[in-house]
Amino acid sequence: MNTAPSDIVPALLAAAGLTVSAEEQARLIAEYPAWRARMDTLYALPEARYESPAPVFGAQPGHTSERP
Amino acid sequence: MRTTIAEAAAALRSGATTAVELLRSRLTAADAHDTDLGVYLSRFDDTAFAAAARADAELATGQDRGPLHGIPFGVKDCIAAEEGTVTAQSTVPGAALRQDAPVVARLRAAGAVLTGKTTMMEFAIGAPDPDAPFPLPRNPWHTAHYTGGSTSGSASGIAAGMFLGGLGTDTAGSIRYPAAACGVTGLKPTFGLVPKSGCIPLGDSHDHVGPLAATAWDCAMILSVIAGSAPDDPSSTGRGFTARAGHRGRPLAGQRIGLTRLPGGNPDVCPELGPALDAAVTELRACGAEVVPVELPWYEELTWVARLGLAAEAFAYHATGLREHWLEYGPGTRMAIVRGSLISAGDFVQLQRVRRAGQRKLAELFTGVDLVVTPTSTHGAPEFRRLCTDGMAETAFTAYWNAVGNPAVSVPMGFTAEGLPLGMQIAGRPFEDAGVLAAADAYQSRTDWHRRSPALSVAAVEESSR
Repeated sequence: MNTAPSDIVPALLAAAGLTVSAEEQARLIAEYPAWRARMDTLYALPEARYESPAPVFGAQPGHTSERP
Repeated sequence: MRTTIAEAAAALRSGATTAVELLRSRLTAADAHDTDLGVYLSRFDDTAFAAAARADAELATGQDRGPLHGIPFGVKDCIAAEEGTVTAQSTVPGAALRQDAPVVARLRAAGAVLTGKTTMMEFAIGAPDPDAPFPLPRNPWHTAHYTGGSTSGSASGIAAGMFLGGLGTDTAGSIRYPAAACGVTGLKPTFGLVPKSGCIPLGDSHDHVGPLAATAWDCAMILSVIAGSAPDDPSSTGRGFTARAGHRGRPLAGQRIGLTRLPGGNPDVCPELGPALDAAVTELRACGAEVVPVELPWYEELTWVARLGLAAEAFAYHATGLREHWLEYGPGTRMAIVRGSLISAGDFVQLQRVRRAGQRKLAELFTGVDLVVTPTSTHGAPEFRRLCTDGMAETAFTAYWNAVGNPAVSVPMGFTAEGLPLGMQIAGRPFEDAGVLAAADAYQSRTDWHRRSPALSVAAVEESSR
């Protein structure tokens, strides 16, 4: 699998159905490694590994997690 | 000297002025300065004068709706009001929100006078776009500088005296940053305290609706009106907020305040920031608080959680719009939102996992302190010719609090050598908005930064004519 940003970014944009200019795509490719690295550090936090994600789904429409 | 809501409310009841006179003076200021400042996207003069006249008639017969009765307001244009379709300062077709958002309906029920909708960053993200068919928000302290964003017009309109209270939204600092840049007070309430329904979202789980005004006490009065459950907002907690008279000048004896001088260790700050923060800490100590140094847990991580998470949420909202109207979005807006398409579903869930763990770490910090103080940003408002959106985000110490949901207020704490305002941010435990505002109120009872007015303002014009 090719993991070069110059492959990943155009593929993700295409999968999202987006057509961007060559200049915009080049900018996204350039900044993608830094964004990806930031994201990957968040997987490396041991305290977060088994934590429950923050969004809570409720069965009722307009669900709230706390009622007066 | 800037007029506060509390002072205007007293003047309305003493007969020193009327709601119609108050409104007229503010709209006269808007007529004089709004071409230069770009505060309003749309004005509702006819309905505002009708509301002001109704307020005068009600107050004359003893029907008092509370401290916002007859007070002129500006509302950010991503929050719906029945006077017109919300635009979020974009030409991209969007949700046709025509009914009052709950927060606007609550202001109206409290007798507030809605003067118009205010300028913002397109869809609350990106950068000011001089090529877009909208007014460019300029800082009333120096019009070559930006107001900050995204709640640009509500902040600059209060600074210029065009209205006394404002509503904004805050997803990574969009109330607190422009409040600091324009020298006014702005609160991001606890997540879930104020309903967000009837607003164009940016990042659903990071968005907050909150007040801006001259003072923390004014913000407390606004919050007491707009807080509370809304059945159509899934994040609404059902909690309300009561502005108590005890907020006024309440001493901070027994309060322990954690001070983080430079969250994340960013050394690139303006030279006036350190002395201004030192002076602010001296005042907090004079109010009785013990101030101790603290380090915010996971500052970098949670700041990035907010940036990445709001990008993913914004992309989900705008995906269809971006596919169909790419070039109608402003260049800065579309580039900020499209980054969300590069984040996977798994990444997004991990962001929410880190948020929860981060909340626990922060709760541990708050077992040792009652409040946390930081600067709001590293510099005064940026000059337009040097404006860089990503760089602007780096200068604000605000996004952290959107990741965790705690309340945080920005209050004026001085000026740069160029005469641009600086802000101090005070944050607290979840749902302890009252304590945050009380500390800000105590600080403002000993300082006058929040009373200063720029040259392009009602107060300055009135003083020069005396």
